[in-house]
Amino acid sequence: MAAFQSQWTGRRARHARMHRVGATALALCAWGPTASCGGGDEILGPLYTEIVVTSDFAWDLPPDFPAPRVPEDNPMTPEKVELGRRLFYDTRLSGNETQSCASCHIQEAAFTDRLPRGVGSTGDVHPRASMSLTNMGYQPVLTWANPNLTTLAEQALIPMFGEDPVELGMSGREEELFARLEAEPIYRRLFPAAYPDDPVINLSTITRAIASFQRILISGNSRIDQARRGEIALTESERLGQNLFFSERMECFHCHGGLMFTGTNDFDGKSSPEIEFHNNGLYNLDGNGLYPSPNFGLFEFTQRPEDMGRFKAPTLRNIELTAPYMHDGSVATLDEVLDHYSRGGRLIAEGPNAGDGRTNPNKSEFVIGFELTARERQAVIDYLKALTDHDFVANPAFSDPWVEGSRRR
Amino acid sequence: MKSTRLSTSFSRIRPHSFVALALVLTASAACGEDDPIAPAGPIDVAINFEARVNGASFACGTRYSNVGTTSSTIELTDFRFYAHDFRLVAANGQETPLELAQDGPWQLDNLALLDFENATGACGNGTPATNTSVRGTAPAGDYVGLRFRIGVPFELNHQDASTASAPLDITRLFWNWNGGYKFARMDLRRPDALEGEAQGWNVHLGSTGCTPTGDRTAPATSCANEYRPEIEFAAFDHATNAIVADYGRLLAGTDLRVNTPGTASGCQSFPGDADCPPVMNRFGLDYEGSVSSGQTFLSVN
Ligand code: HEC
Ligand code: HEC
Repeated sequence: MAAFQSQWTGRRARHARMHRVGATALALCAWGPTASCGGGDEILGPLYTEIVVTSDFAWDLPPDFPAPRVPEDNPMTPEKVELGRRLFYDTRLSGNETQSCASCHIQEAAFTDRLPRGVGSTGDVHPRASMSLTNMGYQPVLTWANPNLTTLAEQALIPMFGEDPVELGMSGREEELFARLEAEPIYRRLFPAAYPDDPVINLSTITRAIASFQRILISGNSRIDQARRGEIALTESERLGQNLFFSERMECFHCHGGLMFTGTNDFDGKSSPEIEFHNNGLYNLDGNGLYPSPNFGLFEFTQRPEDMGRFKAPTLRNIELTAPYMHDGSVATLDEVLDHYSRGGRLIAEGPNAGDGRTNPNKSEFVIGFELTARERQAVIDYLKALTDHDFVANPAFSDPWVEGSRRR
Repeated sequence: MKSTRLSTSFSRIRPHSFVALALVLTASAACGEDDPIAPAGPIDVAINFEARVNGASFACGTRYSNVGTTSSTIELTDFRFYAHDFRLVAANGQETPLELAQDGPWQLDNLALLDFENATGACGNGTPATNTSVRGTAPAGDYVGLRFRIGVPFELNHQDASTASAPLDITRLFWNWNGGYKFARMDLRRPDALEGEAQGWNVHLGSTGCTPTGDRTAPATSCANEYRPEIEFAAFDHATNAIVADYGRLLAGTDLRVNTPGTASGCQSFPGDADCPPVMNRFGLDYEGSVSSGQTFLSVN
């Protein structure tokens, strides 16, 4: 895979420490303030002491990152990744050939679209905001609140074939899609390379290749990672922000903790995935916890009253690049995010969504409210910005592979 | 209906041997079920369906007037539904399952897709081929009635749609957000809708409230609302009767000018949709406290 340049080669001889194992016992230390084994950062806890990689694939992992867990029915290969990258950026995946996945997942914006809510190829407005694809391979459950969506391949069917809202708008037109792709000389080479045993263009091969590409979207070179590895020192303000982020005063780490800065995470060799949904008190329309329709969160699927308003806490890696925030893009800046949490829930004084999120009966007990001095507030924001990985958003291996006159837009 | 690409390369192991067996057995039963000296071998059974709108035959591109409580004029853009678990019923009430022919495009295990649209006119996103019958075999017997369910059985509903075999490979019937399929899809547009009225009205039936339990990485293991209506006809002779699916009758309690603000277009089975009770009840389903007095969508002709 010529285009896939390692950012890590030469930085650290990590491959010597990487073990290919079948089912070796693992010594992974917790990554958080309560870590119990030695070494590593005082606040963030120790580094992973042993990395397990069960696949043959040459992951370009940051030092001390475990590998993503890969579904058995879709082993990683460089060829599949290359094909998936082409498909991800290919506007032929939309009915009117105006949009690709990348239209709503733009690399420079850490694979979000900078809009409060996604806009599909035919102008439909999605009820929710596009999500960052940072470290997607470590997500055991996908989208803002769907507990049933557990593989990237299955998730890809939604933007392609969903009708409410229309995103790529291919519903009922899959034969047309296959014909379009078959007509592309590059795919005549890439599909057989990716699927030598059965080089057919169908939903399975398309979605599995896109999933493979998304699994290499790994971000682990922010200032915080560099500091954790001892390569740089954080500024005084960033360190203060880190202490606050991981404090019982602010409680952020309870839901956005761990290596992935989200409690929902999984990786190769992990005993079992962790999946969490929380209500962080954005709304309370009826005093009874109601969220604005149709964004009911986990409730949409479970229909349990206590799940109203519970969403996945997204990763905070690259958060500086992914404004506006929350499932409906209703919070514009990081400063406003802190307003929300410091109040212990959002107050909406008037309009159809009026209500006090602080008194939402489903709100997590970790959204408690706090006061910050101006300096502390700046420190937390500095810390969140130190989670930006500039290499990730500029990595040529993740960029649009189509030449000028690109099919991306 | 589809190119073979989808169904051949990633299909599950299909019971081809069953098809062959059924053919042999039906051949030997050619003397017919009414022959008094016929052995109790299997008989061929075809259950025919007809699609209608208030009694008139359904066709893509045709307009129908007087639909719903306010006499709307409508044109359908889709008319398909899945059905499964067909049982022939004897006079004493005993059920005998109909073994469906594993015919590739339309029938899989005990599931069949009934597809009345032919991709013409406003049905442009459909498939040219249609399927208006369910075909299988059953032991010879004196059957007086028929039972089946609308929908996709649970075991087939929550698998990976990208590798599913026909008839579960139709993207228009995918219901991915919920990890399942639209059991029934009957969409319409209203060519003479006035400003501010609903331009279209869609009926999508499917299971809701589906969640994984236990192993949280597994697909859904249960659904709060199954929405697989059990259909029963006490008097049904497959040789002479057909089943009529009448979209007009399904909408008989609905004002098609109106879609409750903030809810999906028409009734798409979601909770809390005031447009749903009259439709769900006519499928024979209770919906959020609105109790059905029996389905009226299907009838025997
Ligand atoms: C119209 C804009 C749009 C397009 C096009 C689009 N997405 Fe998305 N994407 C979104 C939105 C909005 C969400 C959140 C969906 C939700 O919560 O229901 C999302 C969520 C995701 C997620 C889940 C991320 C997470 O953290 O759980 C993945 C993965 C994803 N998209 C991949 C893709 C792929 C692959 C494609 C192309 C096949 C694609 N998207 C096309 C808007 C889009
Ligand atoms: C109880 C768990 C919980 C705690 C504690 C918590 N969050 Fe969140 N956070 C969430 C959830 C859930 C969301 C998504 C909510 C939604 O969109 O409805 C979220 C969203 C966010 C977002 C927007 C993410 C995006 O991609 O749009 C930011 C930024 C954020 N939180 C920062 C923080 C900070 C800073 C703290 C500490 C003050 C904190 N969170 C504490 C659960 C939590």
